Amino acid sequence: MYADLLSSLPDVLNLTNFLAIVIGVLSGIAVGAMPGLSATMAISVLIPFTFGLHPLVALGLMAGIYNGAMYGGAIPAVLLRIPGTPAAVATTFDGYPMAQNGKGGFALQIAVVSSAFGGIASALALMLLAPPLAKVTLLFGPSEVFWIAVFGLCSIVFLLGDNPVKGLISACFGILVSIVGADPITSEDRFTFGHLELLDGINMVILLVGLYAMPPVIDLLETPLEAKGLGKALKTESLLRNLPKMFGFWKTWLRSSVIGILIGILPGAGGSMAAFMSYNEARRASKNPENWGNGEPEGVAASETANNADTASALIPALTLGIPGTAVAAVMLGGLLIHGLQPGPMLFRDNANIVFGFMWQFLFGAILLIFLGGALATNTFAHLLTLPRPVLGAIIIVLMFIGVYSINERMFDVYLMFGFGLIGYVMDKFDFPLPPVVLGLILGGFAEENLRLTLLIGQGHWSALFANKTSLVLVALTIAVVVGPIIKRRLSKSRRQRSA
Amino acid sequence: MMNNNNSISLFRPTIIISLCLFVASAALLFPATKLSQKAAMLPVFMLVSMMVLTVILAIQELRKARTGKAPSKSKINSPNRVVGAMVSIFLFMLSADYLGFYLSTAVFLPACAYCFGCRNVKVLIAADVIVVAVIYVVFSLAMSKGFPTGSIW
Repeated sequence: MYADLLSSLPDVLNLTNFLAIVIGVLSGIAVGAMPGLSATMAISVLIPFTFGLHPLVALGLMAGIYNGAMYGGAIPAVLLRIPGTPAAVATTFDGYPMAQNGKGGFALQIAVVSSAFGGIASALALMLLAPPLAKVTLLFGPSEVFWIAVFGLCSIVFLLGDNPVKGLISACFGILVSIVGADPITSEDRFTFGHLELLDGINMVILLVGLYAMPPVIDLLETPLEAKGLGKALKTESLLRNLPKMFGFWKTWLRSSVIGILIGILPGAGGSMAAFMSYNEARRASKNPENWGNGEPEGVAASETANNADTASALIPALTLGIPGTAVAAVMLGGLLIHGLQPGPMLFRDNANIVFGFMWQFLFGAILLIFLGGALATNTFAHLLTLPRPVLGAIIIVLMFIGVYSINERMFDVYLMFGFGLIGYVMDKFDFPLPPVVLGLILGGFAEENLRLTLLIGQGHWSALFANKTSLVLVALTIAVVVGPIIKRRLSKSRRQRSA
Repeated sequence: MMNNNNSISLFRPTIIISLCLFVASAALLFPATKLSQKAAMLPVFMLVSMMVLTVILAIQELRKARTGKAPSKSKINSPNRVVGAMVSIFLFMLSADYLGFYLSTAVFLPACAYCFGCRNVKVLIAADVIVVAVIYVVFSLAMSKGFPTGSIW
């Protein structure tokens, strides 16, 4: 099982593939450092440009961006108290006070080392846990696969966001988009309205770019950001000299890594939840909790370790079951599909070198953070905050155009992307979660195909869906995911009423 | 007073979105029901679910309105700039389609950045020249990608 892991290593160390990780990490830090841009957006814009590349080069870029962006978010969080990514909110609590006390450089060094630690732990978890899980899922038939798809969708809908109704509407929208095109079995046109361009269905990249890249671009043009006080070099000692001062954080690094990994595996949770939980736990365990919030270096270590520890681990359910743990993982899943890599147990059997290579790329990406995001580079990345946002927005619009147009070299796709962008913007502003749309698109067709297969095997009897124990366990898990949050909400409401 | 509040509550954004989604789903039901039973199974199920969910969402919002809860605060800081951004993106796409990609990009980049607040002419010119040149070298020359040529370039 783990032999494939070792045999894929030489492929990753190939110069081109390794360069892809380096470029990915650097771009990721740059994207994360600019408030308003996220790893999800960067990967969505990147995906169309990777069509002609070898899958390992494309995946190396994605892994690098993901790792880099999670750390990059700490730069404006520390220097401006503006989290570059949602996962860096908890970093502002102590990072910004440290910067106010003239320790901004040290805070960023803690952030980069902690991010690397979390990233390495997460990549190791992915390497250790994904292969055995994939082996178990090899035993699944069409009914189990159908229930896994339903479970994945329900978990994202009910665990993400405050309003499950909005989550369900998002998921329905995603599934409806997946339906467009010729029916896979009867070849009837569904919702193509005579457009030949829609016969093959809607390319996932068009939806991803529209949903995830356009809303942040509009935000960039909408809100000007003043980056006062930037431009001066951050005075600090070298990372090597400061490293021993961080060794005392080892307990926090370990605790936060475990929290981040577990939250990453859970569908619907994400980096920000991991960072908050880890920050709270570290403060609870601290001997000086009163210092927290006033520039406690361990606070930066806790949140940055956790938000990077959920990166690779979010791909454990994504690669083995096709259920992404976070929005970025959902977009990455899209990236895999575009390169003809169908997530699931077969991926580990048919494309072992690529999938295991992808895991190594996460590990190397995390290690590279220390070298590429060290004090010198961080100073450079801090200057990115002074870039004029309207120029950046306009450049991203042009890149979105190029990416989507290049898929089939037709304007129809560009207009479609614009339409999805408008829908994405409205959804974003009115709190309709976006990940269920992507998951609906990915799992919709998958679920339909397996449902029909199950019915075919069961000669049209719906009882075939509940014919074996694994299916029943998955049904029970789905019910738990749906009912659990409702019960929890009711209980906390009645507790609140009682205390009032 | 009560009637007045109720009439205002109908114009809450969530209710309007629910109504639009309901109408769109109902409209899509017509082509869906014309499909064979097997091909229509998922689309019909999804569209009916969507209609039910939008009704539930509207009821949730109406109940909020009845209890006097204000609609959630708009996250759009400057609606004019948002509309401006959307219009400029659409105009860029149209002009790329009809006039040509390179010409549109060369005009759009500085114009858009200028309209949305970047007044530094040197930065605008530099960004324009660099971006257009890089796109030409990387995509047209190195990767042989084609872009819409329109009536000009």
